[in-house]
Amino acid sequence: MKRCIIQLPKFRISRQGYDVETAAMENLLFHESMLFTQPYFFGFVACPFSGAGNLTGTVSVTVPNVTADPIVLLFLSGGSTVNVYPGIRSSGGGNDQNGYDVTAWSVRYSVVSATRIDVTFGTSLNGKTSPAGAYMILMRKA
Amino acid sequence: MPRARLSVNGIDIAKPGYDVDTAGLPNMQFSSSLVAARIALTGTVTPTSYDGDYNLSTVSFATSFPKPPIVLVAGIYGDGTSDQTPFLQVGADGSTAWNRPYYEIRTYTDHFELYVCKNALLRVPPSTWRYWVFQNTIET
Repeated sequence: MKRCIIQLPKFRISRQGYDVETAAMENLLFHESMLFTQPYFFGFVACPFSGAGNLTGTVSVTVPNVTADPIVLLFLSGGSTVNVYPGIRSSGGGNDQNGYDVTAWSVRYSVVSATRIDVTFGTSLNGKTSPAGAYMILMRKA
Repeated sequence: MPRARLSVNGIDIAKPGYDVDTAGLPNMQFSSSLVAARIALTGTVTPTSYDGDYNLSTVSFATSFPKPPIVLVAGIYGDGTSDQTPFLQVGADGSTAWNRPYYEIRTYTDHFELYVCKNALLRVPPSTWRYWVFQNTIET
C-alpha cells in the first residue's frame, strides 16, 4: 500500500493503513493544502520585572513579517522547569497593605504591526512572586 | 510556475497562485525557514479528587522533554461538545487572597498535571478532558 506521493506540487502522506491515492482528507497526515496552521514563531519572552507587588511591564517582541493579524497563544512560565496555563492556582494569607502569600500572574498581548507584538506581564493581589516569562506561539489564520 | 520545492533545505510550499521561488513569507503555506510544533501525544483523562477545590490528573511522559512542553486541554461533555475556555477567579477579603483558574495545566519536563475546579466557579466542569502535548523544541 502506497502511503506517500511526492509529485510536486502534490505532496501527500496518508495515515498508517490508508492508501494515499484514495484516502479522504481526514486520513492524510500531510497534504499540500492543509499546512496553513504551521506556527511561524515559537519563542520565550522574559518578564521584565521580578519580585513582589502589583507590578506590570511590557516587552516589545520582533517577529517574522508574515501577517498583521496572527493567532497569538501565550503560556506563562515559572522558570526553566515549569509552564502554567492560564495561571497558577494559589491562595494564601496576608492583608491589603502588606500583600498576600499568593501567586497571581497575568499576561496579555497587543499586535502593534506585522513585525512587532507587545507582551504585557502583570502581578496582582500584591503577591509574592513574578513569572519568569511566557512562551509565545504565532500562527496564521489562513 | 512552481508552487512547491523539495531541496536540501527542506520543503517549501507557496499559497495557490504564488511562485515558491519568489513568494515572501506572507504567501507561503509551509516554509522550512519557520518552525513546527509537533503534537507529541494526545489522550483523555478523568481527574479525581485532589483537595476541596480541585480534581487532578497526572500524565507522565515516556521520554522526558528538554524543556517543559506546551499542553492544551478541552473538557468533553457527554453530548460531545467541548469546553476549552480558561478563566480565573481572583479575589481577596482582607485576610486571605485567592487566584483560582477554572482549570490549570502545569507542565514539567517529565509529566503534566491538570487541575480542574471541583466547585464550579461559573459552571459544572465536564469529567473527561482531552489533552494535546506540543513539543517545545524551538526557543528564540
